[in-house]
Amino acid sequence: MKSEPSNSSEAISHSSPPIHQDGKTPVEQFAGEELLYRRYLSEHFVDGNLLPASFRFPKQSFNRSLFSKPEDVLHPHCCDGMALFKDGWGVLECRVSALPSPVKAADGGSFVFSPKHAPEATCYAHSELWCKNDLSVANEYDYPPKSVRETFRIKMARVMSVRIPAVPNQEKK
Amino acid sequence: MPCVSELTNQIRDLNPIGGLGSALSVSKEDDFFRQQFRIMRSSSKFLEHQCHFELLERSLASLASLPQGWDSYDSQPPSATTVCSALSFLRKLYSAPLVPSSIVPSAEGGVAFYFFSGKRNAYTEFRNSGELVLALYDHETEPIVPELSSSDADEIRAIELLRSYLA
Repeated sequence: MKSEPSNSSEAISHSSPPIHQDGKTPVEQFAGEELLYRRYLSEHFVDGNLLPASFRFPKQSFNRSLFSKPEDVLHPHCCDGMALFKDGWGVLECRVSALPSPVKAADGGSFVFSPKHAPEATCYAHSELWCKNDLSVANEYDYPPKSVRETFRIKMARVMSVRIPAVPNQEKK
Repeated sequence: MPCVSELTNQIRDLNPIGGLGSALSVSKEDDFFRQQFRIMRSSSKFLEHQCHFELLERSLASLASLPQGWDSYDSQPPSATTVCSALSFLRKLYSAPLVPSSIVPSAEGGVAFYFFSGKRNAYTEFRNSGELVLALYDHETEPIVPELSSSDADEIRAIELLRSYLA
């Protein structure tokens, strides 16, 4: 994973708020070059590696870059009112084309992961990663077996890079 | 696990500098200090190991007080039962001996032990659901996710798999 220089948390906190939904409908198409942003805790970044422990199933949340700045994922409007412009939190990113998909199951089946635009009232960019069994025709989320879930978490941790580094929370040290 | 202060006292008893008699010859003094140096060196490694496990034990115990949604994505904190299972596993690792690099809360709801050994990594997770998960992985090849139950025997098997993968 690579780290990039970023704005200070103070500068971030004074930037414009995230785009609100305001009646806008979802935009289904994601370009391969589009970025997905996600916040992370400093505890989940050890020795230069993001830990798979930072992901859970189902429907991992992201902000899509078409309607979001990286720092929006730390804004209260995009995290249920919590103010996360402080030590201990950072922002990750990955390209849509880098998403680890498909992931093969032990029984030979295959699961496809793709982003789905799921706007929220104060966070239009909100999106989720959906999982589909490649044999399934229904438009529903398919909960994958354990081997697929763990493989996906590990591969997601490999492809996410740091956009805004999390400064370790001094109070916890 | 014996506490650090007990071990420090044991080392002090092993090192009777004040009682060193003037009748000792220079070569005997030399041998004595060489021996003491060897004891101290091995003891300090042991102490270091001890301290690391005590820190891990404390950080593990603290995970029980995390709030709901601690990761801002609505994840559950590790339950008291899960933390107890993880503490029991930590004691097995201490006896193995196999040292985890880090213990963190898992977004899946539980406790995760991480092991980093050069290019090879691994984790075990104790989930609030009662599930035990083991994953062995590097930066290139397909991860290995063995099927494990949450039985005591499979915890021992997980340690054996960890040891052989990380060796």
